[in-house]
Amino acid sequence: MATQTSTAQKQERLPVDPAQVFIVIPAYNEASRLGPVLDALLPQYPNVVVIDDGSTDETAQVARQRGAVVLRHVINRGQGAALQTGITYSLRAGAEYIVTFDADGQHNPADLPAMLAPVAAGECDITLGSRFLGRAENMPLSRRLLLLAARVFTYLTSGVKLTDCHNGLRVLSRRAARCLNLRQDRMAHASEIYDQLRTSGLQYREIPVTISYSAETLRKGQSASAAFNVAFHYIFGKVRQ
Amino acid sequence: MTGFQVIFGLFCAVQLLTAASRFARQRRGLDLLYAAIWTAALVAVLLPETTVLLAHALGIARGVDLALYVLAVLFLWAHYQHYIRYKRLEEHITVLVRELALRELPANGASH
Repeated sequence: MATQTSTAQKQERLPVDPAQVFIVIPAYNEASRLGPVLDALLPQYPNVVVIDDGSTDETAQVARQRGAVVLRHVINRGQGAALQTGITYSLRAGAEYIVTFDADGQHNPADLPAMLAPVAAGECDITLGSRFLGRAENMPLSRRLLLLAARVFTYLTSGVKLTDCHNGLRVLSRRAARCLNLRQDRMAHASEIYDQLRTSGLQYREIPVTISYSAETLRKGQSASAAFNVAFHYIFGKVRQ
Repeated sequence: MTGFQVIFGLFCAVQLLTAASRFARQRRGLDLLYAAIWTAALVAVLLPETTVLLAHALGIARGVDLALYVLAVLFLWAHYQHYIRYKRLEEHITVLVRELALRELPANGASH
């Protein structure tokens, strides 16, 4: 890990050794948006793992060119499956902290030190980014309502009270990552994480983060009809167990 | 004998013979079950009164209604069984895809 400490100043801001941090980025056809995300992360965090989830575009090449570790799903298995692949890899590679990060540029790397700090201090096992505690730039009303519905749904099904249930920015301690076993391959993994949080007794905390919405990020975001699909998968996934 | 009885009776009889002969050759319990089901179907087609008797015994007015209820329940049950199997298959595929992805790049010379 040659780029362990790029500057003394950055080391000071970051509450942990960046070599212990693994950033997991699931990416499906994200060649056009992934580059800037990696450019922002890699100078500070040497271990960035991109899971190319069966993309048909240049996602893997873009990630490899910039020096990220690339794991390739030979066929598309969904974001939940990709996250679990990245988490499993990171654990095997000796990660102490695992960050889940979206490929589309909606997250801000500047939020990471504040997300890592409580986990590094042992105050909790997981931190979850919340755009409602923090700032959501240019969020459309429809998205706001959809996320409110998700909040109610999550509270009713998982009993976990959160302000923002579908935020891809999370930090897991090694212990927490080992407790998780995501079996919901597609988007219902978000609710699944909360179920496993509650049953495993892991301590979690929400941290304010900034989410930037742009035409680019909204283009591939979840629509309201997709939300019903997610709820269906989640409910029937539970029945099966 | 009605046209319905000829057509459906023949169909059931052929299925029964197929299942029975397969059971005779391979001695699989499943074939015996199929043979029993096709026998029941053959009886119901050729002697509809039997379904009426059964329906009355269960407090249902018509034999046809009994058949309909049984079908509805069986359909839902079979559908659910398939759904469970499908989900399990999906999970297995994901495990395989994940293993392939991890094998391609074994821990990248990392510390542990």
